[in-house]
Amino acid sequence: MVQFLASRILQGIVVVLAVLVITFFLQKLSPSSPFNNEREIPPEQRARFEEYFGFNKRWDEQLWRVFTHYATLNPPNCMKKPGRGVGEIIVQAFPVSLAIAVPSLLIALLLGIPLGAIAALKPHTWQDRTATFLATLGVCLPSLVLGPIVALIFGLWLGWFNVSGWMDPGDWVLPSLTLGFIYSGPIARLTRGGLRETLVQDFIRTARAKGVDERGVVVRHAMKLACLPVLNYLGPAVAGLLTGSFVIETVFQIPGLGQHFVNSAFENDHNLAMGITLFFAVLVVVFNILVDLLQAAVNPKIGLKT
Amino acid sequence: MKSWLIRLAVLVFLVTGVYAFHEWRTNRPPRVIAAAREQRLILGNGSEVGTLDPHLATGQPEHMIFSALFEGLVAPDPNNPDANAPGVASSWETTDFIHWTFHLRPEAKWSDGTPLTAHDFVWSYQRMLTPELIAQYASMLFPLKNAEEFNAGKIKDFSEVGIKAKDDHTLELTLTGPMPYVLGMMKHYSWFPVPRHVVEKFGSMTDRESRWTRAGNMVGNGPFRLKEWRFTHSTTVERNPYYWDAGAVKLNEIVFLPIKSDATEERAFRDGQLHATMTMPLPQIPDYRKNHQDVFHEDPLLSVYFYRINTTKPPLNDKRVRRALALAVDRESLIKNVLRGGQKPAVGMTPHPEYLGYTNAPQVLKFDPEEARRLLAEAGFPDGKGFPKFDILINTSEGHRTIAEAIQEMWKKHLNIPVGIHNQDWGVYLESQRRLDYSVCRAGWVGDYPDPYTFLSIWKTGDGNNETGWSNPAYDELLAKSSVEGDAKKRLELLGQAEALLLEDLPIIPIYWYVHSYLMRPEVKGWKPSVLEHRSYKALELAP
Repeated sequence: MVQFLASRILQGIVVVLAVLVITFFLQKLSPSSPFNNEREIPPEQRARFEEYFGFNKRWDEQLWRVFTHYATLNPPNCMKKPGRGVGEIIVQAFPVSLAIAVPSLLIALLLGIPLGAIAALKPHTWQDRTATFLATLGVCLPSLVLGPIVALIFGLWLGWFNVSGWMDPGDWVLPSLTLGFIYSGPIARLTRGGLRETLVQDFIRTARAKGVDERGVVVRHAMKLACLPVLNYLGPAVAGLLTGSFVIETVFQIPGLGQHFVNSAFENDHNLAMGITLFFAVLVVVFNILVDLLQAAVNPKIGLKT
Repeated sequence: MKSWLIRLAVLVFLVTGVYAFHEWRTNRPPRVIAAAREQRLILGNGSEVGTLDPHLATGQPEHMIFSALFEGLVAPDPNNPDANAPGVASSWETTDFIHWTFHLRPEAKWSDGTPLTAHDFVWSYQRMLTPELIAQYASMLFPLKNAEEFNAGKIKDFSEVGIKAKDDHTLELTLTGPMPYVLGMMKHYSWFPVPRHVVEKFGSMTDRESRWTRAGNMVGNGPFRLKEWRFTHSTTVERNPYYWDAGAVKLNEIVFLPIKSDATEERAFRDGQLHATMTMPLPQIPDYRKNHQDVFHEDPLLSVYFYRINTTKPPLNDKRVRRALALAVDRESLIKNVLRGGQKPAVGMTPHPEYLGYTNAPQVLKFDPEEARRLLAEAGFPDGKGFPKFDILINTSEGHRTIAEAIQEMWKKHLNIPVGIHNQDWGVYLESQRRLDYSVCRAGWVGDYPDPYTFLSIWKTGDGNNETGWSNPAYDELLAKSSVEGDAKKRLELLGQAEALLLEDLPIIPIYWYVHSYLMRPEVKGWKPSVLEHRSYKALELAP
C-alpha cells in the first residue's frame, strides 16, 4: 500500500511537472501577448509590463520562475487583475465550485446508476429504451442548451428558484440539477454496459444456482463489478466538476473557478491560466489515485499495482 | 388492496408536498421589491472589474462603480450626466482654456473623514503619471503640460508638470494647449483623486499589487463607499456620510452584479433580481421595443463600429477602392435586417455629433452602389474583374461574423468582388491588427470624453491605435492646429476639416454608431441617458 502510494505520488509529481512545462511552452508559442489590448499601449509601457512580469528574461529563467512559484506554494499575481494573487482567486472560487460539484455528483450517481441498472436488467423493453433515451439525452444535451431550459422551467415559469446568482441558500439547486443530469448520462451508459457484462459471468450463474434471489444477485454480487467502469470515469469527472463548468457558471452566474479558467485564456493572463491548469492537474492526479484505491477495494483481483 | 392504499397515500403525500413547496417558493417576494423598500439598487454591471484602483483600471464595468466611489474636480450633472457640474471643485475659471484654476470645497472629505485637499490631486496625478505604476490610461492626463514627458521618463521633476496646489483648496492646472473640452475629460476615472494616506498605508505610491482597494481598506470620496467586494460575485457600495453632498443621496446601497452573459442578465431581470441590466440580447430587442416599452431603453452612445483597412496592401492602397468598399455598404439595411438593435448608420467617424455640439461634422458616407462600381472600374477592376480575394478579419464572436457575412454579401452583390471571413481568437486578432497582418479588420472605438478629438486623434501618423498604415500630413497638421486653437468654434471647424479628410481617404469604413439598449424597472427614478454612460447615482431613487 505504502509502496503503491509513494509510486503514484511520484508519478503524479512527474505528470504535474509535465503539465507545467507544456503549458508554459504553449503560452510562449501563443501568437498573442497578455499586454495586447483593444487600445494599443505605447511601446515603452509594453516594455515596462514585460519587465514587471519578467517577460524580458530568457525562457529558461522564466520557466524556473514559474516552477519556483509553485514548488514553494507561492503562486504569482494575476496579470490582468492588479492586487489579486492567483492562489487567492483559486481559494475564493474553489469552494463555490465545490458547492455545486458535490450535489451534482450525488444527483448524477443517484440518477445514473439506477437508470443504467434498470436498462441492464430489462433489456429491449420500454424501460430499457426510456432509460437509454434519458442517458443519451444527458450525453448529447450541451449544458449551454440544458442550463437555460432548466432556468426557464424552474426559475421563470414555476418560480421555485432564482434563475441566476449566488445569493440565496437554494442557488445551488438549478446548476447542480443541470450538471447532475449531464453527468448522469455517461454514468447510466457505463452502468448498463457493466451490469450486462457482469450478469452473464460464471460467478453470477453460480450465485443463482446457490439460490440467491435476483435482488441479492444484482445488489450484492453484480453491482460491485458493474460499477468499476463508473469508478474509472469518476476520477477525471470529479476533477472536472470541482474545477467548475464555464458554461454552467455563466448561465447561472456562479462565481466559481470555471469562469476564471476560461477568462484567463481569453485575456492571456498567463499566470492565472497556469495556476488553474496546475490545480486541475493536481486534482486529476489525486482523484485517479483515489479511484485506483477504490477499485482495489471493490475488486481485490485488481490489487494495488505500481 | 393494502399495497394500493400505501401507494395512494404516498402519491397524495407527494402531490401535497409538491403543491406546498410550490406555494412556498412562488410566494417569495422578488429580490428587487424587497431591495426597493430598503432603497438598495441592484444593477447588472457586465464583467467583473479587474481592479478598484482608478489609476490601474481600463474598463467600462470599473467606470460604473467608480462613479459611485469617487468624484473628480468636475462631476456629471444629475439632470444631464454629459454636462459638467461642480464636483470636488465648487467652481473654476479660465481665460484662455490653457490655464485653469479650480476652487475646491473646504467641506470635501474622504470617506474616512480625512479632509480632501488640492495636494491630494497633485499627489494622485503624480502617481498616475509615474512610469513605474504602468497606468494604461496615463495618456488621459497628457493634456497637462509636461505630463507626457514625465510619463515617458524624459522629465524627472514632477514640479515641471502643469499642476500646482496654490493652497489646500486651490488647484492650478496648465495645459499643453487650449482645451475647452478638458472639463469633460475630468469625469473620466483617470482624473479622480486617490487617498494618499491610505495608498501609502498599504504600499508605496507605485505598488501595483497593493490591497488598498479591498473592502475594509478602501477609502474614496464619492457619494458612496465600498461596503463589500466579493470577487466575481458582487460589489456593494453604501452611502458615504462624509460626502460633501450627502444630503442629496437618496439610495442606501447599490449592488453591482458582474453578469457577463446578456442572456443570463435578461433572465435575471425577468426574474426580478435586477433593477437594471447593463445590456441585453440583440434578438430580443424588437420584442421588448414593441411589447415592453415600460422597461426597454435605448440611448445613444459615443461609440462607433468600423472596419480598418490596411492601406499598405494593394489594391486597398488605392483610395478609389476603399471608397468603393465604403459606398457599397448598405448600413440602413444592415441595421434594420441584421442588427435590429436601433443602431444608427455611421455617416462619419464621430458618432452622434449633435450631442457634442459638433455641428460641422462631415456626414458624407452613404450607400451608393453605382458610384462604388464606377470607382472600382476606374481603379482597374470593372465589375470586380481581377480583384484579388481578401478576408475580413474578425475576432471570434457570432455578432462580428454576422455583420461580416452581411457586408461580404453586399460587396459580392454590388461590386462582384470575392471576400472571405477569417476569425481569430481575441489576443491573436489584436496582434494581427498591430502587425498590419490583415486586409480589412473589424474594430470599435469608445470615446473617452465628449469631443470629436477622441475619435480623430487616433488616426494621426504614428499613433499606436492607427493600425491602418495610413498617414496624411495635412490631417496631422489640422489636428495640430486644433490643439492650439483657443476659439472653440474655430477648433471644431478644424476638426471638421480633418474628419472630412479622413472620410475622403477612408483608411476606415465606419459602419454604425452604437446605442445602449438595456432594461430598467419603472421604479428606478432619476436615471438620465448619457452618451458616455456617466451616471450620477446621487440623483437616483427607488419609488416603492
